[in-house]
Amino acid sequence: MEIPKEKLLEMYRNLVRARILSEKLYEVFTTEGSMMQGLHRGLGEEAIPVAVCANLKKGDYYKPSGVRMHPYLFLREGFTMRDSIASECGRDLEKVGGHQTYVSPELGIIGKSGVLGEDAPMYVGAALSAMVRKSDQITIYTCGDGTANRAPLHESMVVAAAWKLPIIFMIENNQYGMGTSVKKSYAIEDLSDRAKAYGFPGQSVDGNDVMALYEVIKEYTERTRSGGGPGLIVAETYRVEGHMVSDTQLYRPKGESAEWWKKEPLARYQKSLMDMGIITDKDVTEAEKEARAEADKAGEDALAIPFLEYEDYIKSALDVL
Amino acid sequence: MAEETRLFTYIDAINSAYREEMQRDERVIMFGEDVISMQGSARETTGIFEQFGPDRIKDTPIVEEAIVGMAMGAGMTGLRPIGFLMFASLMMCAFDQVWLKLGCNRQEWGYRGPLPVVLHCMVIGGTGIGMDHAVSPEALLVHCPGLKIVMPSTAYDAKGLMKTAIRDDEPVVYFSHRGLYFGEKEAIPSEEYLIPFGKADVKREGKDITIVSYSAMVRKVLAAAEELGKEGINAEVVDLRSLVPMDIDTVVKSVKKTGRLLIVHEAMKRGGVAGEIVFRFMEAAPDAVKTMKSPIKRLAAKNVALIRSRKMEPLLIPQIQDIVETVKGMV
Repeated sequence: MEIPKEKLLEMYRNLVRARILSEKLYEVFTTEGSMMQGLHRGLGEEAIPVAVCANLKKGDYYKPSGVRMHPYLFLREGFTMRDSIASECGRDLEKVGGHQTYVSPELGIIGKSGVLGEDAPMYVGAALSAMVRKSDQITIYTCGDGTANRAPLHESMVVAAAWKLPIIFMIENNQYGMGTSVKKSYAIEDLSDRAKAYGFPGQSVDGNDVMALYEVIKEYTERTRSGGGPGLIVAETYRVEGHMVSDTQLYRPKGESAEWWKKEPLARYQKSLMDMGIITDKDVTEAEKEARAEADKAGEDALAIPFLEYEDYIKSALDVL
Repeated sequence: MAEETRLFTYIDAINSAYREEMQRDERVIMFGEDVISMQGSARETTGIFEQFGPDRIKDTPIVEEAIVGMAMGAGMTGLRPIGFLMFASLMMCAFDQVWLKLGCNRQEWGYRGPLPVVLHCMVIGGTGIGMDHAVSPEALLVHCPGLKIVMPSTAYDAKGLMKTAIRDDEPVVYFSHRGLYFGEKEAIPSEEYLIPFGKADVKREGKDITIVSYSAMVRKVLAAAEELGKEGINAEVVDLRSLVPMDIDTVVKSVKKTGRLLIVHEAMKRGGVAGEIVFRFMEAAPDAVKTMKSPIKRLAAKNVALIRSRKMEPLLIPQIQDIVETVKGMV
């Protein structure tokens, strides 16, 4: 499959923007008074949301994996980097006329669960809703390798298969569920083997290779959108940092992270595009400069948004006696 | 059949509410285990598949978590789903979905859009079926921030409250009681009616004591009140109908008249809803507490698991005679 040049460039710019957001998030986390609750970064895993978003249509439902990947929702229409940073810092986006943090059904996100995987059935519900409403919206539900073992994922895949719902499950296998290696929690090598048991197609793909990801996701989304039912994509990647900033990572073999960083998606994609003659050094400098300006402004704007007020929260939460 | 009213059992009434609301609004859909194949757990869904077809009602695999989660997801994306969970005990399998997702997360996320979800399941105390089926978990849900809880005791209430639940834009947990399903038929108006949440119903007027109850226990309380009446004790029976929101004003008004308060429920006593009712009463009417003629009492299931035994269960759950004797000790 030939990926159109425009698409390749769009994904390149988005990957640069995503990477710079990864960096910005750490900067904001360490900024006095930002009040960011914690930071679980998706550094090095950015190719996945970039390739997913390049395949989504307006109205599709997409849940990125865990708390780690939600900030990359800014890649979708209707969201901005500012929204992502503000959401991480508990700011009141309603006040600036924005959407409601990471929940906005019209923009394709209906929330996320801190108890991992418990949001999967909700996204199956969104897929059911699309089917009943006879809309062509599809749903992509993404979770990590740790979450993929949880019961709600099983139930979700069972129902989605039985009803041939327009949903694609994606497992981002970043090799660790918090501190536990995927090798300890699976008896299979290829996580996409599970798809067969549910009765829909499954495939693993290099999750650090933008073009390979794009092609697999494109094939799966087209199939699902045309009534082919669910699918499972496993994106093989690596969490180069700890589960969260405070993680001391005693469980990680020395040198493993450095070895994987050699395969990180941005440098690889950049090189491929240069080899293909699609971008030059100048394009790289420009893309980085633009993204950095966007991120700096987003950071400033986000921290200028007031915190959610006590009265507003109580009112919105509908205290029913 | 009369022109203005028809005779309905409790379960006919719920079925009729389902149909009327599905007819009225095509966004209303329902799914759950055996809702088509076995017509629900006890004929709740008879005829719905035939009338509305496969898009509007679906048999799910045995997936309680998915039933609740899907209802939430579908409710946020344009439908008005009814998730049917058969036994209330099965809700335990989906506790995260019910309690954290449906009840809490939407507030936490700042989601201010509609979340029109009804979870319908039944409680079934009285058949000796054991805790895995007969648990009455309403207190656990009353403790959840964002759920409305409905527990009707008559066919009339069951229909009007179900219709309100389906039209509500907030999540509602609706507990029907299996012990009432095939009881005596009631006359129900043929014209449409709805019963608002948070409006208790005085099922029997009296002046000597206020007995507050809900769900099937209201029937036992009414039977006890009849017996007490023969001995000259006139009990007022308040049926809360919905626990969240709770109509404490009707309780206060009644206790101000009678000077005595007894609460009766089928669920276990420790941590039960009776404690919440009493505290709400005391907060709402601190002065009335001072002039009461006897200490407040509660009757509820013993603080043990319901054993799977038809012989044992009546000893664990309050019976008519227990209510009669408790009242006699208070007046």
